Amino acid sequence: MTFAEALGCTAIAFGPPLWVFVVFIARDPLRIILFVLGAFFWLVSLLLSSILWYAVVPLRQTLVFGLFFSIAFQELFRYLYFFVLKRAQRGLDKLSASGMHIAGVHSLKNARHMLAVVCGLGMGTMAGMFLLVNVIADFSGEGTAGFPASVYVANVTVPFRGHGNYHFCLMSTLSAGILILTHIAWTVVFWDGCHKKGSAVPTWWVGLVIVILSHYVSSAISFYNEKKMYGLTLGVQLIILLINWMFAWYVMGGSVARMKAAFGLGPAAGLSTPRTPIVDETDESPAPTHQRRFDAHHVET
Amino acid sequence: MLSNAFASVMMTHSNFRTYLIAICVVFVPVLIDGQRVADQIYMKLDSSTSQCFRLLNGTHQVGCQSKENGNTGIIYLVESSAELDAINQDSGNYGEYIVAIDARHFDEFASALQRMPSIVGVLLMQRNSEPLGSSGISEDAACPNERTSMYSEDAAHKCDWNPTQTAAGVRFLDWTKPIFLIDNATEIDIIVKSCWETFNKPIDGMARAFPVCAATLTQFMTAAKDAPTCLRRQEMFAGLSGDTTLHLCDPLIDENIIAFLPPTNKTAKQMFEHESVFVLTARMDSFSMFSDRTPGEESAISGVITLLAVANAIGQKREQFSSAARQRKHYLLFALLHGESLDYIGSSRMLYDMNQTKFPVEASSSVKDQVDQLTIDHIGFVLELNQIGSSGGEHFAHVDGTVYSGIKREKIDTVLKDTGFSLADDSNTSRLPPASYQQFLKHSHSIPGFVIGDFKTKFNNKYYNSFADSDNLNAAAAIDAITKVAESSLKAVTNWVANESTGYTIDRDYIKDLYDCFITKKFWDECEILKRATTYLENKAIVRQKTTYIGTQGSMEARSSPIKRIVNVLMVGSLGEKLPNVDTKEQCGHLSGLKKNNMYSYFWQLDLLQSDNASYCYQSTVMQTPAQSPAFLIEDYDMTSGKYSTWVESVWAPSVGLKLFLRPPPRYSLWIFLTAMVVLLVSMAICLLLHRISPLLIDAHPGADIGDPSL
Repeated sequence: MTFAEALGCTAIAFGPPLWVFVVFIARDPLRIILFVLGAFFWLVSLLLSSILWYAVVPLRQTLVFGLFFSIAFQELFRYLYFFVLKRAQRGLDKLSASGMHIAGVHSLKNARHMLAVVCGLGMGTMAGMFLLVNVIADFSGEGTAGFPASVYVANVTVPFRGHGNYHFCLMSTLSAGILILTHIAWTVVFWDGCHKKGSAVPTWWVGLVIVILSHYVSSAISFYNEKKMYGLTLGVQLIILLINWMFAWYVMGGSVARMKAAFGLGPAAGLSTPRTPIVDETDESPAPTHQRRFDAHHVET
Repeated sequence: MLSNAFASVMMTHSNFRTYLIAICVVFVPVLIDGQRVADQIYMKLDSSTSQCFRLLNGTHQVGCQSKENGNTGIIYLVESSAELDAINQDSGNYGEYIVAIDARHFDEFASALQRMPSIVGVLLMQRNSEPLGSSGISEDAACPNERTSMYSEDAAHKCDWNPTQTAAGVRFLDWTKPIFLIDNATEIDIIVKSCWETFNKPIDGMARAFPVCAATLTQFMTAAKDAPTCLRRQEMFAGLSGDTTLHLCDPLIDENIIAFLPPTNKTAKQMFEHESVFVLTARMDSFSMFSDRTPGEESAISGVITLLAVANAIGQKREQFSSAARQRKHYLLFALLHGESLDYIGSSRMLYDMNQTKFPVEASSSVKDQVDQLTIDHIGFVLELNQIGSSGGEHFAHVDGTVYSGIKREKIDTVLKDTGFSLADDSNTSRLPPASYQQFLKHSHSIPGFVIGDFKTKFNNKYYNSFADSDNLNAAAAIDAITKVAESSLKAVTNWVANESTGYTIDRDYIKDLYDCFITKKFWDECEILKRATTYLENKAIVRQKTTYIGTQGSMEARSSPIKRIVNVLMVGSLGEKLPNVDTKEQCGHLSGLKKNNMYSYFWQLDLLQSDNASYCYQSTVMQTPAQSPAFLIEDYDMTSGKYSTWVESVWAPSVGLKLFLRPPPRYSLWIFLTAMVVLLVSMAICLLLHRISPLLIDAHPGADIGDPSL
């Protein structure tokens, strides 16, 4: 391909996450830190799966084995992040209690979905990068995929004839882009499930199951790429993305009524919360309101 | 909503099982290997490629190179000039081309390939099983070594000894594009079938749609412009700061093999006298634009074998010959010269040393028994063996018309009668073909001599100095011819030097073995005699490759020219005597270190004609003298003068390679870029929208959720 193409593919895959970052995350240093932490957790999960892959020598060539445990580790670390954050919240509570208002430090309560979005974006971006960087790097040279796979000459063994197509880079790009956005949804749903477990809601495990299952399906369907059934792969991954986002929206309190209200098609009474934008905890003005709420909680416990 | 639905589904056990099966089904497709994406894109062909490299002389650069990152172009198979026309018209469509062409057509299209700017690289395909055809291919000019020939001043003289279609010589064009030679049949199939026919070959005259098959040839040479520039650049950087040196080019350097019989000895008052030396000479080297493809079989090896046979014959009767020669105060000099094909490197240096009285070695005060220095007036006759054996019998002697019509005519005729050859041209305008004898005449225009070759007015060798100078002789006829020429030369030599010719016989089996070893076999150590000869040589992997090119490594014995090292062993085996009391290699080496005399050299080697493993220390008069052009010795030598060879070889940049791949449609990148812009804009819009409506769209404070007190 060329450098322009490589740049284009990078933009397609990482453009949407970039905007999510700019609009929702960049304004708050704490969120930026948590974003990076999310990426870090994903990296550690990758490290563990690599160690496992390296250790199990006979199954090194069996991609399915590695993939199975890689996804398991990713979900495990998604839970671990939730756990760590929950612990952190107790500490941050103490810091922001009793009328203290330290700049940049705030309790992470009341914004658990936002945190999930942040973590999800972090994990997703890292996952997308690992998926795509090699492909784009190799495709930024002069050539595109396809020649070795088409060589049928005596005495020549071509080890692998999949991916023999010049659309491979674009398809990988779209796949990666979808993956990143899906990670956001997964994290929202997953954390909601973990949160509800703590409060003994009977259907707490539904979210977890959906996330894990759809992660496996999403990865498994990508094996069809080598048969050049890109439509199938991308279609399924897109459907998974939509299903998970719908579920995430539902978990975040979405409903048809809210949808109507948001687009001005229905009454907004009782639906919206005080004018503070949900996503902006660092806004100075509502501090007293928040503090009172904290105090209230504190007193209650 | 959804969660309730799911919940009800998940509760039942039987459904759980269905679920599990569903997972496995999805997993079924496959066990694939993890592969590097680059392996899906590029196919590297590197098992047999040989590249055209750059040489520079005093005024020009010749040869090939690519840009630093390689030259990329669409593969186009050229079989006739029709394809070249298509490329000319077509170049707006695809841009740059890499031409794949069979070696048979190379000479015919060489100038067109060199001229056309839209051709950025050439793949030369040589299928070993097919002969190169009757047209032949020579990489040398129509008049080889024109600049340093003795006739260079003579403009009227038409010199076209070498039948080639490119008068300047394919090797001596400045290509400005890389040329790779491929002789592996599999790789040729990949290029022709998988690349050209599958993707690029026009169907019914219409160019093919994308993707098309392209290649990148990478071969960068660091030297440029000409030898003085390159050497000057190197010097400027030498020693500037500790270890940093800029290595751009190397002069061509190796050694000549000479042997005097009998040896002179100043102490014993056995010295050269006026016109007392008979020089029997042949050239050892050839060249090609392609690295490692210099078999030089018809061009050089044929003459070498002839000379070796004569040396062998005389060596059998060494004592007899030596004493007869001493009585007449005559000497025989065997001279196997290196670098002759590149402007007479070996012979010009030999004559330069003679003029400086440094040949074969300088006079030394510390050595007891030392050789006499040979100067040009000691030389009585020069008999040169040029290409032998290709024409099926008829060989001619070539003389220089001016010498032959002068006072030396009788001397030439005497020797000629002994050999039985007829003159190619006996008029006073007769010209010598490119030969080392020319260099002798440049220094002294009255040395009698002639050059024996299997041609009369034009070479019979259609592969003179080329990568294809291999396996073109008819073995039986060539062996017969070599034997005949050897016998004639032997008679001439023994008569002139020792005044006797009986008792010396050419060993035809020896010639047959050498021919088999050097020419018929694919490598130089596949037959008995050369296997034995190379036993003690270092770096056998290099020695066995058929390379007669002089190269740049002559200063390092272990990496110097293979042909020279092998010929040295063979000469020592023929002319040496086994020393009885020296039993180990170290003792033998010690003898040469002693420097009690410099008449003899000492080599530890196997007996070549026996089959046991016993090694001996051979004392012989075989010596190595420098074959490095005087141009690099003389202070402030004017490199543009053309008096001596000024050839240097460029240093290669480390990465050299050929890879094939597909090129996507040219608009493809544009589409991707546009899609990227659209994606960026749309996602920005969505994000900002969500940001704006989110207070309504989702529950802002989920902490109030489900009666949970802490969150």
